[in-house]
Amino acid sequence: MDLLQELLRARALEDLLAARAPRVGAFDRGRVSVSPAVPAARALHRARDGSGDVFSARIGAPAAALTLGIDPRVLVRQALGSATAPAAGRSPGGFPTDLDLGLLEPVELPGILVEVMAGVALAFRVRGEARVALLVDDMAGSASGDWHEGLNLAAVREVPMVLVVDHAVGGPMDAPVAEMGARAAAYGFGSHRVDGTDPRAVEKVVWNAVEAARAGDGLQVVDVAPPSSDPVQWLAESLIAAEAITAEALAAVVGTAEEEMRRALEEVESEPQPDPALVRPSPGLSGRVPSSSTVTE
Amino acid sequence: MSSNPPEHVLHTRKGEPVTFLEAIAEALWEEMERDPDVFLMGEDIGVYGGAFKVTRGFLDAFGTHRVMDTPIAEGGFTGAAAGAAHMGLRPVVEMQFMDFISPAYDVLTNYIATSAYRGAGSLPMVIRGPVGGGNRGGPFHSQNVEMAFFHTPGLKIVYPSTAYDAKGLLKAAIRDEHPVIFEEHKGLYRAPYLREVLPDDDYVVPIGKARTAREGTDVTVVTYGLMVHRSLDAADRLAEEDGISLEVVDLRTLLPLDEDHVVESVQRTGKLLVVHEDTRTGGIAGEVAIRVNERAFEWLDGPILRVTAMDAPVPYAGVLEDAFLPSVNDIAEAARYLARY
Repeated sequence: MDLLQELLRARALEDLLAARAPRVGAFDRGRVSVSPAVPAARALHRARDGSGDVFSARIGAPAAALTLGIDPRVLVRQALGSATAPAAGRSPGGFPTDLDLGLLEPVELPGILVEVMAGVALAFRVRGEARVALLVDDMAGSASGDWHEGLNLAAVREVPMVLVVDHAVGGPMDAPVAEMGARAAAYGFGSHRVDGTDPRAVEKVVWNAVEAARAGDGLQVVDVAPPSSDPVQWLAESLIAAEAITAEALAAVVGTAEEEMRRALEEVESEPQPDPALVRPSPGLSGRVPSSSTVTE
Repeated sequence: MSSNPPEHVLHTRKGEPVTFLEAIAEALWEEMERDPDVFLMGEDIGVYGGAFKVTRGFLDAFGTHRVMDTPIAEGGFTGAAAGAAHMGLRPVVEMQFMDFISPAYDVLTNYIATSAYRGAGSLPMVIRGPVGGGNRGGPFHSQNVEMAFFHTPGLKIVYPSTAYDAKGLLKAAIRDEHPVIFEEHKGLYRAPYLREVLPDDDYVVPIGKARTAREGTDVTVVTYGLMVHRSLDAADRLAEEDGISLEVVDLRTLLPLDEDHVVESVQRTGKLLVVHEDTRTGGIAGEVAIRVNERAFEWLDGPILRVTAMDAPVPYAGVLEDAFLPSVNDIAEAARYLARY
């Protein structure tokens, strides 16, 4: 039920933002993008003091950020480019960086996040910390040199990193192989595969990969095969069939999630637009990352 | 003091003069001793000690977690350095030759330079390495790369010309909260005339401040790197042969540019010559010229001129490279013309 609840909150947020801020890349992927990002985020060690695992995602980013504890209003502010957003309208970002929550802002450039997350994991290894860096991406990035260089470095250095590849997006021109598992021996990473239909299965397989990385097995890659139906709906129907939830209770959860996100949007829409003076860099945004303001109260 | 320091990082502690290269090695060593978050990444910097032996002996002293040999993948390890910087480490990335920074252009300009602006946190990291011609290195081991990045807000570019500045500026760069590209001219690395005894204290040279390398009254020469020394030679010659007095301004930092220092000098001399080893079109001379035009036009008593490398890839054969690079003669000739204008 927790997983379904988180998926439904994420779905409500995505639907709302897809309508209000369609140019934000993370929202134009269709209605399946909340999974595998949400179950993948649930597989991490979560903390609110900067001691947990670190997450980034080109796919399903805002959805997973909710799971990791960010306030939905912050995500709406970021998407709408509001003055009160952590980036103050300077960057859309799927979510803002909040290292206390383990969130590293995704960028839309395919491949670069693989390098950056390899570096995050490298820092964990250097410091001997039992933490993991996890990135959710699609196969489109795999055609880039950055993707290859990042994975190669992560594998050579045996850093605690997990790459979750969502095959529900992307096209036939992305790669000559259907899944990353075909490259496991060549790169030297641990390979995992799961059908994307059942978010619970995704969470379990990603959790296995995360714990393997944490245990010192180095880079792990999880191929999430395209779901045969909408994973959120599939999970809801499964839980109803198993009598773990009633249709009425489900409707109530959906209603609560939609109401929460509607209120967040309403509140943010009444907030001011950024001051044009903010176009230029200012000392206020050049230091450490803001954090406490982004946490759900 | 870490165990077994190599000889080339101890000269200042012994009161001995250092070369430009040794000054850089001392800066790296001392910063690594001062701050356990500082670490080095690059191709062959560990076991081999670096192509120019800047980091010889560092691996034995600091270990593989702080002196990391990397795959030949500049984009990959520069991006990884950014990730490590997000986590609070302070990476110093060596480009074996700065010509090889181009594969990292994407991550440097799109990701690293924008990080603070995006609200994703500033990235304290240094990308350093050898630049410049005169060593018969040909097109791929001789370039100056500053203008490829000069147009990118969010980056700083430092290009020292003396051992004192190299050490102080590199320390400042490592302690800076923002990404710094640090260019080291190969022709300065072991130049005997640059050997000097450095202060045996923890000094830094602030980023963003030019210096007057030679005071003069007739023409301001704005330059940096190896060309500071060519310009000083030209100034000696003109003083002796023509009684012309050149003021030589060493920019030291290219981004941010110390515009005030340049303008103040031009307001005194009324003439401006910009000298750089980088190629002509899109070189920093254009930016310096327009800023002086904007702020000191009424003080100018002549055209703004420039002496630069030709618009060509760096050639290999000695006679071609000598023709390609700005010479003392070129500088003296242009300055003489300006002084008499």
